[in-house]
Amino acid sequence: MKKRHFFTGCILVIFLVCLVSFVRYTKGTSSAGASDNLKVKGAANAPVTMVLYSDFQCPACKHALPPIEELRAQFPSTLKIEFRHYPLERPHKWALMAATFAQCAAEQGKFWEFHDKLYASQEIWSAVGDALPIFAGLVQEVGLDSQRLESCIQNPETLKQIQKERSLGTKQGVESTPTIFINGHMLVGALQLREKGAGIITEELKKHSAS
Amino acid sequence: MMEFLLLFMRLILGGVFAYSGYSKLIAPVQNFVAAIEAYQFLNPPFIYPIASILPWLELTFGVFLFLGFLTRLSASLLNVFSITFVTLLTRSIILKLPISECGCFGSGISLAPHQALLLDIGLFFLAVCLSIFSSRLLSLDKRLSQ
Repeated sequence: MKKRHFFTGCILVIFLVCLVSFVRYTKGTSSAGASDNLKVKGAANAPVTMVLYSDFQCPACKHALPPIEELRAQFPSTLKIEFRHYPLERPHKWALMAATFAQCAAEQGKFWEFHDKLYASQEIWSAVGDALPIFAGLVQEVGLDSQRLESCIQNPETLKQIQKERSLGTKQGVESTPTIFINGHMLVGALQLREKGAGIITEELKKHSAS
Repeated sequence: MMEFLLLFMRLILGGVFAYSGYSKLIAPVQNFVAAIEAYQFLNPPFIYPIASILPWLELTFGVFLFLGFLTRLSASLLNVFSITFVTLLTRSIILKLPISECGCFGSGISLAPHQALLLDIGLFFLAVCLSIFSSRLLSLDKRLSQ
């Protein structure tokens, strides 16, 4: 009887390993085709790209900003950063609206200024019943053309771009924010970025100079 | 009647753990690593091995229990998991750790720590009942012992 149990257990475990491997394999992790090239900073020909999936209303994303800036200071000419929207609408009711405003700021070439303002005032607009007046104030502070912004916000393509970036993130295995890919190496949260970010970039630069 | 109740409990407990393990396994391990890091109870060298092994144990023994294979052993092991999760969730609530999502089911189901705590307390009681009384109705154990 013990032999029968042993073989049954082995068959079940092998079946589960095959099932999980098959699902992982079929999921795929392609990251091509999402970028609009409007939310990138750093040298265009930098050998290392950090893709950052982020949500403007997520406190953990705000905590990840200092380590990102430290890495930028450490690798000024070899690291570029690409922002991708990943608004988590269920816990963060203003995340999608913030992403829409930021995407429209990107179309006027002022994404990073607006990005910094949104994070700096995150606690304020996250807590209010209506964040729109605060976003409108930030638009003025950054100096965006409000007519162009209005038509951009109402343009369905803006929402489509945000959704495209989010669904690509999901395909790549993003479940929470911030999730960071450094030349494809995945890190989740500020802690992993602090612990491993510099090491991964250094390794990638070694690979680049060797090739 | 008791046998049907035990079968129902076995399917629920096994199903929840199997789904929990599966949903973590089909996502990159870094997601579960970040979920464990948020609880702030383990040293970094232990986090990756645990994040890699625990979902396999949840899936394997969840499926075993669901099918009624090694029922008592599987229920006892899931019992240990449940009480561990209850302890960690209680600790995170008491310490007011900044955890908005328990990380129990990958991206499949999102539960706040207090919701996950209630679920785990329920699962703990199911696991205790199954460890004591077992469940042989429609089980592989019964079939293999014939």
